[in-house]
Amino acid sequence: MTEVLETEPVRAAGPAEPTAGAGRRVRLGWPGTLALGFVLICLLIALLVPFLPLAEPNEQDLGDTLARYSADHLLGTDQLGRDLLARLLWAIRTSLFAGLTAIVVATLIGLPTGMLAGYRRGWFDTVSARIADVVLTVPALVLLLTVHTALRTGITGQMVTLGVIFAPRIYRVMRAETIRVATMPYLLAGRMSGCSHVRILWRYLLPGIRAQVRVQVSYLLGLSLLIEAGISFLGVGVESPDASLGTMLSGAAAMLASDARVVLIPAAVLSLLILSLNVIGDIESEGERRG
Amino acid sequence: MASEPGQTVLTVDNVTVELDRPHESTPLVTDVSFAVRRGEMVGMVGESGSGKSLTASAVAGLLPRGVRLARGAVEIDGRAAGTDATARTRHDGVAMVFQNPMTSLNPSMRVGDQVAEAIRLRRPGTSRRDARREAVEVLERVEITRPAERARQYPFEFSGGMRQRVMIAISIAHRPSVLVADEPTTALDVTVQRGVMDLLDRLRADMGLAVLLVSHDLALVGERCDRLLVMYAGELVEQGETENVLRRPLHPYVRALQRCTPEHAIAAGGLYSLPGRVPQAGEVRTGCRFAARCELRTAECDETHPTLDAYAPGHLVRCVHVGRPEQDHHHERRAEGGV
Repeated sequence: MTEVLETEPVRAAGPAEPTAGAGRRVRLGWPGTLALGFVLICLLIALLVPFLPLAEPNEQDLGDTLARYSADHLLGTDQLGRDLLARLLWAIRTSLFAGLTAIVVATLIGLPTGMLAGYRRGWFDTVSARIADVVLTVPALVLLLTVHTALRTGITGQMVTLGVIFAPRIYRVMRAETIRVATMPYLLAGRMSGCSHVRILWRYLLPGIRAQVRVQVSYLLGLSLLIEAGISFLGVGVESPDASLGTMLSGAAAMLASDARVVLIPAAVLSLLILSLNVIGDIESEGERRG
Repeated sequence: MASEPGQTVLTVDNVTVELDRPHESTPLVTDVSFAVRRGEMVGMVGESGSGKSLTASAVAGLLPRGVRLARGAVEIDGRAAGTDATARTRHDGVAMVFQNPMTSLNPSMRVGDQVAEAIRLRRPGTSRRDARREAVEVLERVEITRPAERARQYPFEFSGGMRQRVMIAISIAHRPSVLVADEPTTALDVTVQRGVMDLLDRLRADMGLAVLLVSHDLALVGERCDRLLVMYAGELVEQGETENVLRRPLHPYVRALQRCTPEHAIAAGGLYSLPGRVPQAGEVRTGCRFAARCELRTAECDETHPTLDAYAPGHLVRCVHVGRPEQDHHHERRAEGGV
């Protein structure tokens, strides 16, 4: 009797649904599906835009400014006669790549240091936590303006700087998560099996905190898109005439009263993108809380 | 339970574990010495806080953060292990099974891969394929049905008893000579408990494993172990053959412990409760650590800290009253071979 009880595999009702780290799926619901769909479409656009049969985004046609929708210009033209669709799609590419640059830098700094601090504790934890505190006190905009003025590194440099500013946020969350997972006896069991510390971090700790990485990445990607737009609007990010969601807004801001369309289209795309990323982040963190 | 007396594979010599603080020493485990032979199962019992789990961790070289091996040495297969005071690294030749099987497996790795990992890490050069095949064999050895199929599953697909078997598989995968089992069945159902203990017993016999079984269950260790170590407040108070320790306990603490078991309660018509509690770390005083709760307490108990002395060969006890005439009629002296 007991043998039978013991050897029966314990399965949840329905198909085996892996939990905790084993590729667990979060239920998206329709807002999540829409949001994820929109983000994926934007990513696809970002990747494919050089290969699409589009007008030259920076080519001006001062004889045909603020044109309405036509077969030549599906979304019309802006105040300098540039094709709005081409500019919009290139802007999505520029802005997303800029945002991703910041996220990649932030994750590359924040994730390993956070994991190490939470796992090792001791002096490394103390020192890195203080550094994180210091970085967090620096106002992002002021630093970005300074870097632009002093170094003139262009949008990539600005986004790397932003990544450094974001790194402490990722660091803090990852440190806290690591401390939580590090108390799990399976880490000790892994040590007993002969795992090195690196292997423990990689195969035992990282899967346990992956969900939180996704949460942070979605939130911070939305935030960096907003900041990219902000600094490009101010002229310290992407430089005109190149199209980004920020430069499109700044160039057309004066048109708001006369031809709002030129402003509203990039603004709507930017807002939707940020909203979608936040919705995804919310769903991820909700799923994480429910465990 | 009779096993051929093999050679000694685990020697614990004056192991002292302290809180890892720079300028003070708060001993949690004091001068624990014992030895375990090949194919022998030795039980370590004591209340919560008596230091038995810490001793077990020290043996496996898996002391938690915040404590350190202050003095003493652990010798496995005749080789010194972890003599470095700050060493928190695992010891070769020892494996450990933990208390809670629900949390001691990596939830994000297939069960077979976890066993294979243990094999490959200890025997570098083993191909992935060989390790996987061997992992299935080990799973079969711990009596998991359809091992090849189950090796591809994740821990959440296993019940508690099955997970503990997997944990045992991981620990024996690299063929250690010593297995430390820290309350391996405490978190399991009584019925499942028996199966896991039978398995440990079989592995001990088949592989010649030396098993150190940490438990607070006197009945369990009494049934399974060849010898017993009784700990109190971080030190050994009695050590000897299971039969001697349980039938003719010498230390007043062990006698009190026995009176706390339900079996005794039925005979005595009520459950005895030992008054007081195990002293906290750091509040250890001069004299006998058990004196405050002891029925036999005298002035001498408060003054001198008793040493662990042989009452009979292989039967050691830490009590000033043992060997006194007023005590001796409780025990028949028996000279028996022991360590």
